Amino acid sequence: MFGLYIHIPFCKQKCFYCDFNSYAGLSRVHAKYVDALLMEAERFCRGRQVQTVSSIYFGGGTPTILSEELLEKVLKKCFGCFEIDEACEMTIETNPEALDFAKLKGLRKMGFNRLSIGFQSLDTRLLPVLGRRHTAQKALQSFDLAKLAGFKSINVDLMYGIPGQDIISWDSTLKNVLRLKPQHISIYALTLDSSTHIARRITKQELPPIDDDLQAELFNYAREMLGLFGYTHYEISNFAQPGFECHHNVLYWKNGDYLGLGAGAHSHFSDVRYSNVEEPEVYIERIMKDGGARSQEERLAAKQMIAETIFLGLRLAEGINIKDLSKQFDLPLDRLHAATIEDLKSKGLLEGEEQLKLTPQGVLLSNEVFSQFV
Amino acid sequence: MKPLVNVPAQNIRNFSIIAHIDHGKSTLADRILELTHTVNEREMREQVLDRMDLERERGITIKAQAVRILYKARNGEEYVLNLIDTPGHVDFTYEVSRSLAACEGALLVVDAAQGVEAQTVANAQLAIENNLFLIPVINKIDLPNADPVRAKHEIEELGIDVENTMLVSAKTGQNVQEVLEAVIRLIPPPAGSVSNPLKAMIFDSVFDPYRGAVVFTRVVDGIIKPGQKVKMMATSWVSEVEEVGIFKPDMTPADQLEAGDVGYVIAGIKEIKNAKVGDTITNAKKPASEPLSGYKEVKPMVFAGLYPIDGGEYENLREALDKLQLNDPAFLYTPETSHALGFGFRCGFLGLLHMDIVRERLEREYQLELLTTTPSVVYRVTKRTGEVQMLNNPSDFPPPGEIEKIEEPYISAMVLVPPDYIGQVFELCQGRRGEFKNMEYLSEGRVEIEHQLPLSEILLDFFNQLKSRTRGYASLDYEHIGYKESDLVKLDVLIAGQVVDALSCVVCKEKAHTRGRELVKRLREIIPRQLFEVPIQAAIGSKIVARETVKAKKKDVLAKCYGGDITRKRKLLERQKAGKRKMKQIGKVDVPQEAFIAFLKVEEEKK
Repeated sequence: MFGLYIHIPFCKQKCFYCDFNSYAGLSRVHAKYVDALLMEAERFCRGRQVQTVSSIYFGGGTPTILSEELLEKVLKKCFGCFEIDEACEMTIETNPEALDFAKLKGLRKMGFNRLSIGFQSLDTRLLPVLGRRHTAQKALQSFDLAKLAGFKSINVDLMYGIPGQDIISWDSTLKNVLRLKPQHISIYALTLDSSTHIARRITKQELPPIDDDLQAELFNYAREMLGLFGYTHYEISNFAQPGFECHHNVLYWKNGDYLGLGAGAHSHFSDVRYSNVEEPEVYIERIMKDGGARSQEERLAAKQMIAETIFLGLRLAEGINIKDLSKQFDLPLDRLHAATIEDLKSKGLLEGEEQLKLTPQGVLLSNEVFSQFV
Repeated sequence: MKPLVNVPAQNIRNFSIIAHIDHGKSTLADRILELTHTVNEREMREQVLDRMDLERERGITIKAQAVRILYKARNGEEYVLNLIDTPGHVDFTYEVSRSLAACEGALLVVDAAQGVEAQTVANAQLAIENNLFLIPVINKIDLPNADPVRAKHEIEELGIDVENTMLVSAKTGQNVQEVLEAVIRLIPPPAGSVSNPLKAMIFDSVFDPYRGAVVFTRVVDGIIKPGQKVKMMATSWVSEVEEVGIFKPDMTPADQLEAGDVGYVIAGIKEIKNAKVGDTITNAKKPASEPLSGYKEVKPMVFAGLYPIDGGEYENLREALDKLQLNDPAFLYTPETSHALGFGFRCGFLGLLHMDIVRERLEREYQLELLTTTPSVVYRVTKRTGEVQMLNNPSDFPPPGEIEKIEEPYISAMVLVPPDYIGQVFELCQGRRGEFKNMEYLSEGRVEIEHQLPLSEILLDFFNQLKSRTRGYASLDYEHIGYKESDLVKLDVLIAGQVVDALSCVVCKEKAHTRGRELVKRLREIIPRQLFEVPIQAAIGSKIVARETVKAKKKDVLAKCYGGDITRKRKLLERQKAGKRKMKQIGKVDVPQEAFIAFLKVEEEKK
């Protein structure tokens, strides 16, 4: 398995909770940015034997902010440079307001076979708190349009723990989403980065603070309801109808290799992780000048690789096989971590023998578990 | 070896600069060094004499410092001026008094805008007790709100002759040379004789890992030189002098030090406790009959536990304490164990500032991560059986039923404040179990208020409170006045049903319930949520007087994996693990270090 991640760091407007590498008001550099992406891809592949790509993921930002023409240019370059598996999963992220039917059809036609739509919430009171500019109606509509355009695998992103959100609001959002029968649903706890607008409003006491207990309750509620509707809780934040798990994300959890193209994109090749500079204009400049835009690189020690493999793997419902990992790393990990594993089991956070996985309680307290292995 | 510039004893002046904190003592010293080219411009850093980073950062002098200055006076003669810079905090009063005893005169620096403050009074009194000639120096006359006339008046009110008052700005250098001329004209030269048996007073010492104790000394009588066998009169320690020298301001070897000289002595003293501040060095073969007066054993007044966060660092902490004590004999330590904290040390300090400094030096210079428990005074506990115990750790207290009486150390606190704030000072002192003793108008704008208070009451944020309630105008000085009986009880804290010895404290019975409630409330805020519910209780004996609960943690999860940035995730987890490691495990509960000084924080909250 080998994945390709392409970062499109542009948005119409920054959402109030967003601390991602994305920028509003840079439409004038879209074309140049795409040129840089093409060059980065070409440079990477030049004279190198690259594995077959099993998933392509366009993330952002709002990747669909780019014109069809630009998106197609990128995709074509991917097909030109890399060997793409026939069954390759090709996802693009989007927002409800960044779509129309023609664009959706275009995306489908150029090859995207999976769409991830950021709903976040369907509560009209909460959308402005998040700084989202679409209505609930628009979100529902965008889903229907995507279906009509031919997308057979659609994800909906939802957020819980939004200031002002209660169980009734959450219940209603969930039920409205379930009516659409999306193949995949991701639910993320709102996490605050101090640099964000929403964090400042909470500090100023304009909004109620994040309540961990309520977040736990909302998560458990969603987990139960999605389970009833036939979704598999295959990873901490991800639920899917059988067979619709996101290959690209699973690749991350299985600590596989991936290449990230674009500003701030991260790559992983066995014991090396690196990332590009974050600012799009700096990225463009460096690619054009030097052909590369790497800003950080880390060579992982065996210990770190093991830690990552364990904490990423435990995110998946299937968990990790400690015997297999011991073989993979040629170390008796089962014995090395015996005390930690016993302790976490006694706390009710971990279960299983050879095949270890988080308990339902452990999912919500997963950092308690993971931090024991780093 | 370079010989000393030889000047006759009548051309030597030994003087010191004394002042209330922030009145510009070190700045004046800097200007003097600059003016006399004792340090060149390249070496000139702000406040040259404060050598420790800590001193420079905090803007205070912790250790005494001495420097030899060559000065060609207007009368054309060469003079040697030995300037001894004294520590500027009430914790170090004894060190100040010994530094003063090494001098014949002192510059009494008073801030032209602030006027006389509590330590101005205290230091002036120390100087007068040591028969020093005082030259009043009114500093910061360049400030827009300077009021030198008032300042001079206030100095006069202290009974100090103000005829020779100098008006200076150490910052701009204005009149600094006049100060040096006054030193020469007014301060008497040293009186001793080289033909008398050796008497040299130790006014400070530092430890050099290669050479042992470097003793700062003032030779009163006789001569001291390498090869000589010398004896410390208080400790009877005998050793051979390896090197003597002067401070320029760096240590510079010399052939000998004579009566009147100020310099250093290195004599293979491996332990600084054998060279105690205030002791007299004499010739071992031809000893003086009497030591110089004024020596006393410095006793720590405040005790606290120091524990390594990482139990594996215990031996390193012991070594660091050993080394630090070499430099700071006023600081004591003995091993102790706590059920809650494991192996550590009970340490004695002169005061809270001293404690802070020791802790910071241990962390900074020895890279240790330490946990400090709430500071305590030394209680005198008389049991029903008649047995008397001196206890500096609340957890050592016998059960309440066995106690006949408890006595605690008291201080006499002098607060100097403008009359507008008399009410606030009274309110604060009375709230701290203070007993009013006396009030005196030193001048129209300055009242001295005397209270007797338990020492323990000023350990808890008293000084900050005093400052904030009087808008910074009040100044404080205090002296220890011995023990008095008080109605005290030991307050225990239970975390998850288990008494945590390191959190026990001794409080006045009347306030015990309130304190207990405040303390558990504060602890509830400090102790993070665990995987299970944690009750926190305060108890007197077996009676629970307050309870709070830390709710169980329900959620601790990282949400989105953003674009494959695993490194960030791993680092977050590593940080989380490191944070946990910094906490102390009490039973199954992870308790942050802050919890062990929660008692102090309770007071701060009430500001």
